[in-house]
Amino acid sequence: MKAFIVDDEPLARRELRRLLTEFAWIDVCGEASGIDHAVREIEELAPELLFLDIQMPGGTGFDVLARLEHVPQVIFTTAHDQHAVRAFEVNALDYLLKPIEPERLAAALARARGRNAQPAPATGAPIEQMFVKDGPNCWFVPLAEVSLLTAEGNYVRLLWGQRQPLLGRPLTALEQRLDPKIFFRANRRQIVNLSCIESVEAGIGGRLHVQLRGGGPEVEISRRQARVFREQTSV
Amino acid sequence: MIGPFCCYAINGQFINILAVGMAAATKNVCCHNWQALAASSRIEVFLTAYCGDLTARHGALQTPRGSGKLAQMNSAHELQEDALVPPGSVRAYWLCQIAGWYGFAAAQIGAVALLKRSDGLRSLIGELDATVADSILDGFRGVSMAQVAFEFLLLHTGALVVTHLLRRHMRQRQWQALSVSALLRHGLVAGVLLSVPFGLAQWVMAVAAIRPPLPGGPPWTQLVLMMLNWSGIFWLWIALYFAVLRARKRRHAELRRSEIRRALQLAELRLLKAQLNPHFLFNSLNSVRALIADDAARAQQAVTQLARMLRYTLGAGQDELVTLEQELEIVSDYLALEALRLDRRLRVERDISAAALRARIPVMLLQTLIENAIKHGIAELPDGGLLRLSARVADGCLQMEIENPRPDPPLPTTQSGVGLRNSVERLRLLFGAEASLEIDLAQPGRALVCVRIPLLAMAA
Repeated sequence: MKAFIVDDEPLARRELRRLLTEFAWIDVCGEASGIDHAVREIEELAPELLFLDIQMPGGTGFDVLARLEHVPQVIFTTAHDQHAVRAFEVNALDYLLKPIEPERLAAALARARGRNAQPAPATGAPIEQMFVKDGPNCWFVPLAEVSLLTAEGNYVRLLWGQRQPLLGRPLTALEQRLDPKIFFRANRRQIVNLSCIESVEAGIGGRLHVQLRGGGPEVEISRRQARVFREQTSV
Repeated sequence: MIGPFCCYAINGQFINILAVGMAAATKNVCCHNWQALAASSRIEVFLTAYCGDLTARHGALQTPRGSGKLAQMNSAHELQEDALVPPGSVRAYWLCQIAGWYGFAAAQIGAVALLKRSDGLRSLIGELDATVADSILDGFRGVSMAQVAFEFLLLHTGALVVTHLLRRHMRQRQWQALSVSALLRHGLVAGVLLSVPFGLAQWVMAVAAIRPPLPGGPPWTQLVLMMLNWSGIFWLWIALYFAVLRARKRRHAELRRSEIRRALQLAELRLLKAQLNPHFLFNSLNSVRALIADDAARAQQAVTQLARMLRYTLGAGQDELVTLEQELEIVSDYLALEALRLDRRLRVERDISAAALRARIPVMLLQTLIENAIKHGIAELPDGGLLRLSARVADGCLQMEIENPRPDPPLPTTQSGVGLRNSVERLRLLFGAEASLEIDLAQPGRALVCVRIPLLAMAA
């Protein structure tokens, strides 16, 4: 299992590497000390497991996750950070307190191995979940639960149940990585989740009006896209 | 003359005392609820006002200013206490007033009815003084019970209104702030003054018969007795009022003290936590753990440095002064430990004159400033930076400068202001206007802290 270490302290990285030598099936493929460096390396090396420090110069480990296309399994490492601990409660991610206890590490790795039994997605395959950091809140958002994506400048506003977190990347970049069987481009600004559509009504000039389940806003499908929509869904 | 007078007065007062006693009992029962209600609302006000204040002030690296702070809180609270009228206490007051005065009226009406009807009671009073009982009975002959009831109710309604006005007057004139002797004087005068209209009013009414004139004395003795009687009632009322007020005050003071104590304990705990700097502590322990395998000698050294720092932090009394030399030893330990974590990112430059080493500074002041410089400056920068520390003596003052790079623009999460503001406050309290701590953030990407402490502190 390929693992990557992100920590700004060299001694902390060395200590973790030393602890990981006990686990022969873990292969530490690289390490990084800063956010930018970490994002570049992780995208390139595509590790399956990430050891991530929370407090880092110029930002946090959450910032690293928010910038990743494919988020691997994450084990947070932190010395003392109550805010971080609160974030974990929402996410049910694993975390280790520094100095790291070997027993706790073994347990976290065993869990990671269990989850890793599912085949890893091939590169270029559609994304299934996304890490979203909006203000103090962080979530792993399963994309299947997102009913609508709306462009807001260079950002994307997700409609996820009652929450509407903002994602820090442009809609066009995201579109290429979405599953075309589930997500449909409704108009220039919006992509809609087909499985979340409650009803479709014909509008003026060949447009369609889509009502989402759970009382979301009405989405208009442009004339050009309406034809594609009819073909695809045989409405 | 005096013998019958006393007997007579006691006899007349007997019923009244009974009634007032009842009123007092009601008042005491009520006053417990009254206090409880007042106390609960008080706690809430206190907690929101002071704990909020305390936690805000003691959030980060800082020091509590024990007694000064306490006094400040007390005075602030006193002000609020007067402004605050617990909703429950107003209701309890009116309940006591109405129940007391009308209970009193009812008791007197009942007593007259009993006298008029029962020979047994008559003989009971008659045993004391047969002529008195007879003259009372004579007085009520031909007076209907309806009239007796009406007159007593009228008198006591008047008394209720008048005592309420008296209460308003006492509050306006701040009687509760008077000394015991002054309060006694004022109370005596007020009781006598109020008794005049009531004595006169009762004298012209049919219910005047409840207190006949002295046997064989002139008719105006009846008026004097009536006024004396009313004075006694009003004195009792005033005494009761202040007894309740005093009891409430004491209860509040106790509650306030315990709340302040709890808030201070909480603040101290937070302070200790902040001083121990858990993030630094656990990261250092992690570094030590890494060093044990790689460099045992360096690990041993780090453990010693950490132990020295902890001992210094835990032992530091808040108002204590230490020499700059002593403080610098701990700063050096701290910087050595931070260097383990930050590696090449932390560079330190020191320029300290020999004279400055002997100057006295508040304990942990420099350490706090250095920690701030690293936590919010160098540690936030991916490439780290140079921490510059200089200290020299000039113009009879120790002048220190701490300069460090910082992220530009500043990170939204940093709250470096709290610890620094607190250091400013500490200096002001210890040295007054002569000491200063200035933070210069004018230059983007750089922070400069200048501290000035008078050398007089050497003598202290």
